Amino acid sequence: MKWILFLSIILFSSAARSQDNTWLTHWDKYSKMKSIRAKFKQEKFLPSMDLTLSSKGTLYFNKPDLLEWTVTSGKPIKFTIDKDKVTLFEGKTKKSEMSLSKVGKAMVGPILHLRGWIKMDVDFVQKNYDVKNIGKRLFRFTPKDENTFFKKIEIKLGLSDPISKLILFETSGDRLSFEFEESKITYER
Amino acid sequence: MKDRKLLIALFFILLFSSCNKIESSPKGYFFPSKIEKTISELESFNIGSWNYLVFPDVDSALKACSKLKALKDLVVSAVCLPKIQEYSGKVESWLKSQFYLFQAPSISELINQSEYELNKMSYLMGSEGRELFKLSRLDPVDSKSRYWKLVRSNQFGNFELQEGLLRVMGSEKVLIPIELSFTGSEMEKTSILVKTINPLGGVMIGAHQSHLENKSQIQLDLKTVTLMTIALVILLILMLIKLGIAKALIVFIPALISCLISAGITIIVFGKIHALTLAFGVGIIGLGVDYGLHAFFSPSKKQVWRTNFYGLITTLAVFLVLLTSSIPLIRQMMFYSSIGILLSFLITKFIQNKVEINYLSKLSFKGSKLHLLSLIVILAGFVSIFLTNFELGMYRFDFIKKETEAARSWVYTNLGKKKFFFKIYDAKDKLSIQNDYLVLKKAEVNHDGIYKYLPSREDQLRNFNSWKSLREDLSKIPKQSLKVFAPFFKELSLLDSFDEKVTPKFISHLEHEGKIISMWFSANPEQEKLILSSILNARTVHEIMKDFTSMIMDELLILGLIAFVFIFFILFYRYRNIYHVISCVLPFFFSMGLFFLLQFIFHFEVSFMSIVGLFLIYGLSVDYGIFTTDSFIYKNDEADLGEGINTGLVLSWFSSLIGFLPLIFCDHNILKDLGIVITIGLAGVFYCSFFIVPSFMKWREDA
Repeated sequence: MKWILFLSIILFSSAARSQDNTWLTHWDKYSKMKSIRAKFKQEKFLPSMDLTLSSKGTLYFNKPDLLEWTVTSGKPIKFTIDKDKVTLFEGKTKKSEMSLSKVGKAMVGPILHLRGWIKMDVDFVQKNYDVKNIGKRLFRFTPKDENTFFKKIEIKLGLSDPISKLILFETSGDRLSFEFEESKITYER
Repeated sequence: MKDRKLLIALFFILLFSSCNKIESSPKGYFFPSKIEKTISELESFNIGSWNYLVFPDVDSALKACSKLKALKDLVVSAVCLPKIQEYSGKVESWLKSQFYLFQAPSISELINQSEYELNKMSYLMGSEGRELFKLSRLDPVDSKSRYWKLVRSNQFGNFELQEGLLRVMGSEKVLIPIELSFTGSEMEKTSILVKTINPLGGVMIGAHQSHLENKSQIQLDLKTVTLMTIALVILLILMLIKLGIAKALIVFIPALISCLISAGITIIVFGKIHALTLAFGVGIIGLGVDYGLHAFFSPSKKQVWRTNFYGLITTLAVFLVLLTSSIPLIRQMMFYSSIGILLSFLITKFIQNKVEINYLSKLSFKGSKLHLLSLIVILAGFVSIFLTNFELGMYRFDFIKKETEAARSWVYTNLGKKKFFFKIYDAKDKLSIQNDYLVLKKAEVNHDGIYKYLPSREDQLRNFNSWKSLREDLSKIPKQSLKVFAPFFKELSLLDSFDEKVTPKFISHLEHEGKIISMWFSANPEQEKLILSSILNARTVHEIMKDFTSMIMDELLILGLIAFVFIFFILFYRYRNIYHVISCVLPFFFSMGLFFLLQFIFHFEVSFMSIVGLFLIYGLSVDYGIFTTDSFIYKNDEADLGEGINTGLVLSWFSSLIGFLPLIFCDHNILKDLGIVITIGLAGVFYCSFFIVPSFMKWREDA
């Protein structure tokens, strides 16, 4: 009987952890968000090439569709997706511009997917991922569909930022991590 | 008995060994060696391995796309949902050649640009991004964007990539260009592709499709011809049985044997036999049967074989003159026909003594001077020749289904490439290639050639040396860049001596076995004129074909005249009477006149095959002219030949009709055109031989 009780405690405690909806409560605060701008530090690790690329910059998202991803370290570049238009700037020079439909989903698919995270779209996340609490304010999101861009995504909720750390584990084994700070949010009236 | 078995066995061996020796492709058969060489050279470049697939909507195109990408053994690349991986080989080759293609930047420019590229690499994610990342490691100065720009320049006309599929604004249809790993002659592979796309509503157009569609249609038509011929043969047999002269059927045996032996000899001499040559077999059977029926129904064998002999040599005269044609297919047809007709004559003569047919004919055609009025058809026909629109283009040889025609028109209209000009050079003749490139460079004519991608040799050397010099400053490059762009710096370190011999992969489609091709695509008539005036010997496939048809027409006219002169002298030698000679050639002129008169009235196409058909009528009709002329000349001799000969001739005429009438029900133009001309020709031969010639001879006799 003691064993059954012990087992129940373990099972219930683990179930409680996996069904932890802290992230939902946390993100709920931002449900009326209109735009977000945050500084980031990015690290791209490619184990097969033994390479780590480090950069920093800002991410800006303005509902419903504008995403600006600016790398300010080294020579600054900016990548924007505005509705159907994809643009790349080198410094202030527009280097290329084309329709999203011409680029092909395979190339911009991961970035479009990432947009769902940056705008903290709860429906999008719940539809596509199973969530597990793996630490304090730390959550692992595993895709429901195996044929997706990422093997898993780990998110650490910030105290003052919606997300303080985002780690994307690609199916190839490559890893991309962002640390966000100084998030500035505007809200819909 | 043993000999007979051996003979039968030999026939079957010959027959079955022939099956895989039958060729249906035009390659090596339709064109003179010079044109064949140009076409083969053009086909040897892998530009010919591109075909187009047209789908009614996006859904079907997407389904087809995944199926095409699974057919890796057949499809090298398909422009649908394009992936970097499909182009990475060419891009990599471009990047590894960049030390020849551009001047090296200064070390500070290299550092600056590499930092931009480094930052761009941080955006790359997913399998596509990873592939691009690998390429980017060879590319610290963004050379690949120059390659994309060159490749994309006006490549697909009005077509634009939408969601990874090529579409035209306002149309539901989707275009998928595909590069195939095999040649058009490997039709079983094309067939697999067609079976894959057809259920999805897809239509294939291009050289591979053309090969397959033509072969399939010829096979289908030959089945129709075979079935109809069998039906008509049964009808003939029933008619002969009803008349009590079934024995006459024996005349088909020498003709059939001759066709088989002739096919065997043709294979031995030419290596293979073309399906169209075999189609001529029915004509040979018809002609061979003529001699047999003519002889069997004649009471005077001696006289009739003399007549047959002149029929044979006048027919052979046409065949032998055409044997000198520059077109391999005509040479093969004439070789096959000459052997066939000669053997048929000899074998029929050999067996004729063993078969006696005593049949008193009730068929008789009486002459009347009124029939001579019909000779006006000859005059009207000759006038009609000048009003006839000869469609001598090679397109009549190319069978196109209606749905394929519609898809083809849509694709080429939207590709906006009005005409495709090309010039093939010796690879060593770089100066000419470069000069031709430069002369039209400013005119903005859409072009593909090696100098679109490569600078001149001098510039290549200058670029090469500039990169070599840059190596001395590499210590200034930041460590991060050195690590990320390590593959680039490794390539740079390997630069040793200038070598331009190897053709990089990105221009491999323009080089083949020591030959280089340059292509220009005119968008309007002005550009067309400009290309022709600027590039010496620039050709279009259309022009080659046009030259070919005009050459072949000249050739046929000359050879036709020579054959006519031959026949005239042979006949004059025999008759020593100009009216008898005219009487012999009347059926031909009447048939030709009738054909052109009917063409003028009904406007059917007169193609290259119609002209070939006229030559066949030429050989056949003179036989009938000789037979009927002789029957009139010798009717008062020891045996009254007239009526008996007429019966034999009507039967042989019917047997010829059996051979050719079914061809008019074919869908393939070349068979249909041949069928129409010969059917009309035979009708003319019938009327002229049995009504006009006797009237003409009677008129001359009375005169």
